[in-house]
This record gives sequence, C-alpha cells and structure tokens, in this order.
Amino acid sequence: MSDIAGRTNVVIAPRVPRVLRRLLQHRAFVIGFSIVMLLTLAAVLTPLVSSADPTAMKVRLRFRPPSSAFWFGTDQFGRDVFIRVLYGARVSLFVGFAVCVVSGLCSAALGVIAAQFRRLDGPIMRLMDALMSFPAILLALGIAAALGPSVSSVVAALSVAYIPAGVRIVRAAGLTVREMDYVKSAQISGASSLRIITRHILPNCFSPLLVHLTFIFAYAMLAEAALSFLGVGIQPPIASWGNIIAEGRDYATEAWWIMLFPGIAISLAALSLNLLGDAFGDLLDPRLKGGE
Amino acid sequence: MIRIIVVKLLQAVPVILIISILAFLLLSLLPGDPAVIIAGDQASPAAIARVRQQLGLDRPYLEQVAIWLSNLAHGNFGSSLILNQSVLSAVGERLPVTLSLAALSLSFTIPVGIFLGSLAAYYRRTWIDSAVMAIALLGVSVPAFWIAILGIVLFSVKLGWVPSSGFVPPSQGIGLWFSSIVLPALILSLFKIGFLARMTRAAMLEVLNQDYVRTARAKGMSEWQTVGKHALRNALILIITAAGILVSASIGGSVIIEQVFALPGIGRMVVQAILARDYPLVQGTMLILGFSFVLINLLADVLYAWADPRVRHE
Repeated sequence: MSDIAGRTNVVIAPRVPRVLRRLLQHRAFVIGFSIVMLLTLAAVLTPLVSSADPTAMKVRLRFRPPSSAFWFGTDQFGRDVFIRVLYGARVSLFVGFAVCVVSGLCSAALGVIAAQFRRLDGPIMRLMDALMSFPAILLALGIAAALGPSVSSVVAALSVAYIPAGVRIVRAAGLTVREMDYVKSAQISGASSLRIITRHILPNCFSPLLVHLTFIFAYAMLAEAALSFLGVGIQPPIASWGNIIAEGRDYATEAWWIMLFPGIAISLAALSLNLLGDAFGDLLDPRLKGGE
Repeated sequence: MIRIIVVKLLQAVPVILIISILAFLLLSLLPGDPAVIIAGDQASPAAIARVRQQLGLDRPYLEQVAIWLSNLAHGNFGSSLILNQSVLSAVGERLPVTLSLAALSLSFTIPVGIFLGSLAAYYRRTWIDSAVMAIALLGVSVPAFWIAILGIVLFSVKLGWVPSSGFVPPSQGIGLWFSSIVLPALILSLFKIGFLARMTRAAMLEVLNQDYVRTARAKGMSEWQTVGKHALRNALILIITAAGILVSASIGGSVIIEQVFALPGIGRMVVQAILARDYPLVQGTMLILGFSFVLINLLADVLYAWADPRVRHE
C-alpha cells in the first residue's frame, strides 16, 4: 500500500507544478487568463457590490459623455453605459460558457460514438456534414428565430451550430487512439467498448477538445453579440453587448461612447479567449508550437 | 482522380438529403402551430386556414416530407410569403450583390492573408512575427458589425470617402460599384485575413522544417526560390482545406455586413425574412446556401486531391 502511494507521489507530484509553471511562463496564457478572470469577476460581483440598475432611466442625464460620474457616458435614456456593459458581460460570458458546455458534451458523446462504433460513423458524420453546410451564424440565426428570442434559445442555436466541428475533432482524436497498440491489446484482452471509451478514448480527446472549446467560447460570444445586434438574440431591456451596440448605432456619430465601449468589451473578451486557446494549443499539442 | 470525384459525389448525396430534411424540420421547431405563427396573431381563422393549406400543413407529416423532397427534386424551393416571388428568383435577384461582396472580399483576403502568414512564419519569433500575429488575432476577435459602424462613422460620415449604405450595380459604372462595396468588403475580410494568416503561418512552419527545404537551401537555391517556390507551394496545399471555412465565413459574415450597410443581398433578405416570419423564404434560402456550400466543399476536396498526390493515392 505504502509502496503504491509512494510511487504515485513520485509520478504525479512533480507533474502538476510543471504544467502550472509552464502555463505561468506562457505570456499569452497569463494575459488571456487575467482578462478572462477580470471580466468574470466583474460580471459576477457587479450585482453583489453595487445597487446600480442597468435599466434605470434618467431622462435628464441623456447623452452624457464619459466623465468621472459616468465612466462610459450615458445613453439615449440616460442609462449608465458602464453599468450596462458590466451587466452585458454576464449575458455574454454565460452564453459563451453554456455553449461550450452543451456543445462540448454533445461533441464528445457523438465523436466518441462515431470513432468507436464504426457502423454509426457514416450516419453521424453525414449529419454533421449537413449541419456544417450552413454557415454557423446563419444556422444559429434560423434556429434562434424559430425558437423565439431568449437566452436559452441563443444557447441552443449556437450549440447546434458548433457541435459538428467539435464532433470532427473528437472523432479524429478517437480514431488515432483506437489504432494505438495499447488500445488494440486492451480490446483483444476483452475490455468492453465502454471501458475503452472511458479509459482510453475520452482522456485522449480531452486536450484537443479543450483547445477547440476555448475558441468556441470566443466565437459564441461574438455570435451572440451578432444575433442580438440583428434583433434575434437577447432582447432589450436585458443588456447584452450586442443589443447595446444595436441601440447605440443610431447615435454613433454624436454619442459614440454608447456603442464604442461594449464593442471594446467584446473584442477584449474574444481576444483574451483566443490567446488562451493559442496557449492551450501550444502547451497541450507541441506540434502546433510556433517554430522549434 | 475520377474515383475520388465519384466517391465524393456519392458522399454528397446523403448530405444533400439530410440538408433538405433539416431545412424542413426548421418549421417544426416553431413553438405552437406554424400556420398561426406565420399568419400572425391577429389573423382570421380563414387566413390561418389559407396559410395552412398553402404550406401543406394540413396533410399527414410523412406526406409533407415527401412533397417537400419531390418539390426540391423538381427545382421548386418554395415561395416567399411576403415578396410574392419564388425563393429561387428572390435569391437569383440578390445573388450579384452577395457574390460581388464575397468576391471582392476574397480578393483582399487571399493575397493579404497568405502574405502575412508567410511573413510571420519566415520571421518567426521576431517582432515581425509578433506584430503580424497581433493583427491576425485582432482580426478574429473584433466583431465585424461593430467595426462596420465605426467604419461608416469614419469613412462615410466624417471623411465622406464612400457612401454609407446601398449598392450600385457594376452596370452603372465600375467606380460607383467599387465605392459602394469596398468598405463592406474590407470589413468582411478582417476575420478571414486573421484566420488565413494564422493558418498559413502554421502550414508554413510545418513546411519550412521539412527536409526538402533544407536540401533546396543546401544546394544553393536563392532564398526567394526556396521559400516562394518550394515552401509556399507545399503550404498552399494545406491552405486549400481552409477554402470551405473562408467561403462559409464570407456567406455568414455577409448576413451581418449586408444588414449594417443596407446592401440588398441574400444575407439581408434572410434577416428580413426571419424578422417578418417568412419561414418558407428562410427555409428555401438556407437550402440553396447549404447546397452551394456542399458543391464548394466538393470542389475543394477534388482540388486538394489534385494538388496533393499523397491524398490521391491514399
């Protein structure tokens, strides 16, 4: 018993800090992670520490430019743009995260099934090909419009739109693992499909899927903003970065601050997630590393 | 080569069938009775019945699917409820706008993206690499509709260089056409340039490490010939796989860009159809776009096999 415990210590203990150290030395990771954390904290804490209401209208204070009282100015109804952008972060980050979870789980399940049960591979992949034939934003637009504008239908629409790419990635990783000698010998020695999937295929699909989902997080936030901008996503008065820009659009020339700041917020969030995705890609898949 | 084309064609058949059924199912996603939703809240029972009959919703479900598929097989993609026009002619009318937008945008994207990506790969780990990758990262992170509004404010309202909205067909003068579409096309390119530059860099890095590049250098080939001919040509093969995504991003992006610039293209039509609950028009247009995308991917696959003997002889 003590022998096993001792060995685990030797094998695992130095590994965890090493991964952590490599992450902390990776500039893209540190920058990306800090911004994502900052935005998440802002999104979670704002309603807890501040009683400011993102929908409170003060007609007297319409179109105030940015100042020390209103950091991002006020909009056409006298609402505080800074508070609205913070509340918009809640919606955007929630949608991005939920899409990652839903599409990640579905892609993992479908991809593993396609890789392990060869007879289902054809039908599943043809269905994915068909879904991929619609540009993601158009597919999401169609589904969101049919389901009606709400946060949950945006999440559902974007998840469906991003599942096919995830399935392809998991399936490709799964197929590679399946051909490995140790998996074949597990199969020969009588391991069940379930055991092969849970012990061998799923763990090996994790890194490529994680890298992919980090980018999907960014894409989903951009797509949510676009859907809300077009009017089929999150509806006012709920503040979302996309619909704040849509509302501020008519005043873009005179009251530029209404649409400028939410746009910077989306860009910053997407940028930091893309940086995180790059960092995960570098660290988890050395082949993708920039140069030798 | 012919075998590959035949195999790809055969694979496309079930995909096209599934696309058709998916587009059909879109209507069943609607909460409640599609006829009531399409006719509107205030419609009389007679109007609702008319919509129901017009769309064949009063027939058994499987019969609806059969009719839908047989219509498609006869080239009938349905009719718009608001435009008083068949979907095919509505799409055909707006195709030149979307196509010229996509074509102009791709003509910016492909040279710039490949050039930037190669530059970054060649000067990897220098400030040039960092600068190019920072630009590429911005390209894939900044929302196009936001940049579009900023672009209109700057270039149309403040500087007055280009009109802020509307489309001028090339028949009324190439210059007018170009100025009506250059800003939307440029903005539509930003994401794609970022994407392509990142992809090209990765492909070039892989190729620049290959033995044949070292051999070319060792035998005294000029740097330009080594990189330009040997490396880039092989990297291009990897880049062909991006063609599908570039086309998809062009169509998807045009949905938003056309809306911002009020360009009367297919994307704007779909958005308006969705907002007006003209679901037959949405279904039909998505089908046509889906079919064309399958064709383009087929072409890319064949091109890929043609350009890379290893794929051909797999």
